[in-house]
Formats: sequence, C-alpha cells, structure tokens
Amino acid sequence: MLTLGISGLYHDSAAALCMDGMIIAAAQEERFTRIKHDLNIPYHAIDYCMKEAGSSVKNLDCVVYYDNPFLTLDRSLKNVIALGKEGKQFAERNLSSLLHNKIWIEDHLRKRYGKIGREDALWFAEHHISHCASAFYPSPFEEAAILTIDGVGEWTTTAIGVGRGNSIQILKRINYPHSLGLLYSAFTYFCGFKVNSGDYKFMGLAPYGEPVYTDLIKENLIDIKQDGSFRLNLEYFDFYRNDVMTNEKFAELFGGERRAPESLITKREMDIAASAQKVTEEVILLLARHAKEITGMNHLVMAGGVALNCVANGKLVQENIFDDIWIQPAAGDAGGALGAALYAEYQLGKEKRVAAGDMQKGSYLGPQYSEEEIRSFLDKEGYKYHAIDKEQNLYLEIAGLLEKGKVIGLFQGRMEYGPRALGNRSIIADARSEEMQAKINLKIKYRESFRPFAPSVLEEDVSKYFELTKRSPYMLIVANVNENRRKPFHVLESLTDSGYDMLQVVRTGRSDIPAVTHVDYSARIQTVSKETNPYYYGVLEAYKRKTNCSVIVNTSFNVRGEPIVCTPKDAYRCFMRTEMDVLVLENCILYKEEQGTFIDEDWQNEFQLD
Amino acid sequence: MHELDLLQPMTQKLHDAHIMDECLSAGRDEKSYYSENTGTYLEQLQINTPVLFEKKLREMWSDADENEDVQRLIKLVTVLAFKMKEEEWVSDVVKERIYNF
Repeated sequence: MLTLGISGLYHDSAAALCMDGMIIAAAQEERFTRIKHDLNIPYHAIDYCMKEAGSSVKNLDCVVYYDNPFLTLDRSLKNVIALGKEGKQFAERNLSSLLHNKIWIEDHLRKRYGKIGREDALWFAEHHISHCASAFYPSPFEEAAILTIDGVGEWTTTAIGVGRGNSIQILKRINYPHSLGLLYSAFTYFCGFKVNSGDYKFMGLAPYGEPVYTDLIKENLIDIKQDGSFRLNLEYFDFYRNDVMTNEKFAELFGGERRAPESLITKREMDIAASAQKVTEEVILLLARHAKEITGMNHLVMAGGVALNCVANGKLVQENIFDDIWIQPAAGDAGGALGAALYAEYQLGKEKRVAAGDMQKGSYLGPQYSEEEIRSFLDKEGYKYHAIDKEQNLYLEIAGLLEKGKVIGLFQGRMEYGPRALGNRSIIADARSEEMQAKINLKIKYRESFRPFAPSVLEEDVSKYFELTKRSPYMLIVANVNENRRKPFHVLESLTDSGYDMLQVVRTGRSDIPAVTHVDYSARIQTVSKETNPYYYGVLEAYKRKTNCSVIVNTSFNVRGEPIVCTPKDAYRCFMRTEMDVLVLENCILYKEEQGTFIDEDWQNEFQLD
Repeated sequence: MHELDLLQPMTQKLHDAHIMDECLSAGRDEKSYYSENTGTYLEQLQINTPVLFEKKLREMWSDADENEDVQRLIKLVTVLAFKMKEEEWVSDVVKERIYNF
C-alpha cells in the first residue's frame, strides 16, 4: 500500500510517503519555498515525495490529511458563540481561514492533481491521532504508552493513549482552551519572542533565570492536578478571543508590559523563562506518571510540539518512569503528515506492524544530491571547489579544518525531517573554542547571542562527555556535561558582574567543550552512529583521531529566519552571505577566500526575523 | 462588509441564550472521534454539497434538532462556507494575521 500523508494550513506544512508501513520520504514545505514555517498546502513537498517513489498522486492507494477541519470548525464556532460580542476578531481570524481554505482541502488537492489516489477521496485523521501515530509506529517498541501535547488540534490539546501492534487507542484527553502548549506560547509571546518559532529560544533562556514565579504561575494561571490534568485560568489569556496571547491582567501579574520584540532581555524575562520551564516540566512528568499508571506500559513515546522541549525530555529520562522513551523528531505539526500516513497504512492496509528497531532512519528522509549533480551545479556557476575522494581523505580534511577553528557548512546525504539539523544540513565547528558560540551566533547565524549550540558526539563516547548513557540520535534530550569537564561558573554571578551583558557571559568558559555547554552545564545532545550516518560518523571519528575529542558543534545550516537549506544552491547562498569559512557539498570542498564576489543585495530583508 | 459579519447576530443570539456558553470554561463534551463506520479515527468527509455539509454540522451539535437558532446558524455557516469556497483569495490582512500568530 502506498500512502501519502499531508499536513498544512496551520503551520509547518509537510508531506510524507509510506509504503507497507515503511517510510519512503518526508519533507517540510518550507525547505522548498524558503518561507519559514510555510503553512500553505505542501505541493512542493508532495511533488518531491512522488518523485522519490516514481509515482503520482493519482496512483496512490491512500491520501490522508493530518487533521479534521470540520471538528476544528466545530471548536471555532463554539468559541465564537462563547465570546458573544467579543468574538468578532476571533471569528475573522479563525473562521475565515477555515471556511475559505481548510475545510475545502480535498477540493484544492483535486484541482491540482486531478484525482486523489485510486479512490479519489481524501481521508482525514484526527490531529492527535496523527501525533500518536508519528510517535508510536516508527518507534522500536511493540507496545507503548503514548503522550502527545501541543497547542491544540481540533479540540484536544493533550492525549494519553496506548499503542499495541497496529492499534492506537486514546484513553484520556484534555481539551481546548486548556493547553500546555498555549500556556508555554503565552509566556514565549510575553517575553517578546515569536509564537511557534520563538518557543525554542525561550527554552534556551531559562537557565539564565531563577524560577521565582513558579508559585505565582501555579496560583493564578494554571491549576495542576496529581494526574497531570490541568485547567488554565482564562482571565489572564487572550488567545481565545483575539490575536494576542496575553492581556493586561497577565502583564500586571508580572509587573509590567510584555517585552517588545528585539529589545533588551532583562532578569524578569529570564526568571519567567525559568519558571515557565519548571511548571511545564512538572506537568509533563505528572502526565507521564499517569500514563504509566493507566497503561501499565514499560515504554513511552511522545509527539506534539511540546515534545520538542528537550530539557523536559531530559528530566523525563532521568526520572526513569519508563524503561525507554522514543520521541518523534518531527514532533510538531510537520510530523503529523508522517503520522497520518502511517496510521492509514496500519489501519486500512493489510500490513501487520512488527517493531524492528527505530524506523525513522535517523530522520534523513528528504532529498539528496549526487556528487555528479553537485559538480554540475558548481561548474555551471563557475564556483571554485576541490573534489576529494570520500574513501581517501575527505573526512580527515574536514576534521583538519575543524581543528584549525574553521566554521564549516556541511551538506551531504538526505535532508533531515523535523526542526533539527543532524549532520546532513549542518554548520559544524570546534566545540573546544571559548569564542565559537559568540562567533557563530553573531557572524554566521545572525541571531541572539545567548542562544546555546548543541553537540554531536560519537555514540560510543557519549557518557565520556555527558551524564547520559542512552542514545540520543535526534537531539531531543538535554543532559549535563560531566562534572570532571566543567569549570567553575555561576550564571547569576556572571550576569550581575557583566551588568546583564549576555554576550560577555557566554564568552566565559564553562567546560572543556565550552561552545556546546549551556550556562547551567546542560547540552542538547545528538549521538551519531556509523550505521545511521556513516559520513557524519566518519567526520567525527577523523576529528577524534586528530584532537582526541569526540564532540563538535552542530547547528542548523541557515541564518536566522531562514529555513534549513535544501539544495546546493541554498547552501552556497547561505555560505556566501555569512562568515562561514568552508562549504562542503558531499565530496566538494569550497574555501571562502577562493570564491569570487557574490552579488546578493538586500538579502537580510529576504527573511522575516523569527 | 466581511462575509463573517453576517454570522455575528446569530452567534450573539446564541451567546445571549447561553447556548454552549460552558464550552470554554468546561471544555468540550467528551465525544469520541472514533468512527463506527471505519473502526478507526479516520473518516472521509462527505461535504461536497450544501445538504451534506449541513448534515455533517448538525451531527456535531447535539441540540441542533431541538433548537431553531442553532439550525439557523448551521444553515448560515453552510451558505457562507460555499460562498467563501468560490472566492479565489483570502484577504492579505487575514493571511498576515494567521501567519504571524
């Protein structure tokens, strides 16, 4: 059975293609259109998936959308009624897009492709079922508890379920407007970051603060029960009535107006971030415990946007509530496309699910370019490069450049699916340098200086560097740098001494791998295995031979506001727009000093800041 | 006038009559999305005519058959949905709001 899953029209559109329960291809639309979090119907991603399968939409056995827009219409209408006179702005924002677009997605697809699969009909999966499926089916577990948490699907914001063989069953739900995702987004918004793209930065800010607002939050904003269920106090929020998340009452609670975007980050925002993180972790742990209690399962799988909170995931691992945990790398809405496809495969198809290890294949599910295609592109454009044999010296060459402190744009293999770069579309650098974090933030990514970078480490060496003994191939778990590698550092003292100059704080060495050690000694870890990514593993191994260090910086290959690069052209453009030293496209190495003038006027206005 | 301004009087009427005013404070009634027809959480939406669309909306509202105002709202939403389907565009202002939210 050949099944296409589609997510779109909310945020992070994507397409995924599965055959007989196996994942063939998956990609986010933003990578093709270069519009971050592109929400339009993912025609480019669909076309890519079809190309990968050598098929067409007309010939598919099944096409399934990850959400039921009719149920969302139900929720939106009832929300408008509950608001009465106040509902006008909400109605315009939500009902417009529903009635214009979302409920007619089947028609849009038919207009584009003529026929939607052999049946010429679109299936609709429920939103949280799509998340559940994305978490359970690719996991290595025959059976597992499932926990999905996001902003909102149709009505559901949180679901606990169980997966067994082919079957997924939701046991408990929490419904809109009570949402952990929306609560977190409210804080993100209040601290001046963008909802849906700034949540991650907000999480990275937390270690700079103290959780002094935790009790205030629990007394006023969210009532949490022992089973992890919760209710929000809507008096403080505006997301259910207009296009802002919080209101004046919320601002009064935290002593003043929300932080203006791009303005100075103060102690208040740092403390709010720390407090919000603590509350979020508390809820997630309680939900996980309750999931264990009602399912009796030894394994947990997770998805939904809140599952991207890797700090909370790290705490979950430490708690040992479950023997093992697997989290969908594309845990947000993009992953819904994959979940919808897999759910349809296992429910409508004849395939019997057999758990045979991690089926996500490192999440390397997007397009790749052959060495010939890359050389052809470079030759056509007249860009100077050096082709080096992979079997001979390539990895050693890259390792040598890293050792010299060069910042390298690495482009190889299939593009990652999900928000993290995992070595195939990555900017890599020496983790031992104290200057590297500031350098990459300011001169290459052009982003906020406080933001930490993540390490890639050889899988077999992870416990030599971090307080982690399990695999973490998708950069979804945070753990601390080992004590014997740390240097004395106190973030609060450092902030005070520097007058809250975060740039100065990050320049202070915190360990012998300072570029990937956050201010609380934590790190968001990617373990790299030879089996899953032989190229990237080869680079790390060569680097270890040269330096005796198994860890490098891995950050996504893009500038702020730009999607991760997809094509060699995207990669070259990003390379030339920044102060990256070297670009590696498969086996072709390009040095910045050898490149000609790159005319690219006004590119900084091309991408909206995220 | 925005098409959705047509909805306002109806939704206000239902609001004033306390129809479903509990829906935000207590959350939605527990209604399974599980489809008895397919034995799964999958369904094919059959809404390509106003009659079918209206029928589907009525299924989701438990008191639709008893309440004339709800029925009027359902009819109005149905009319709006098909009218707005024919439009080739969503206004830039709405697109901007959706994208930046």
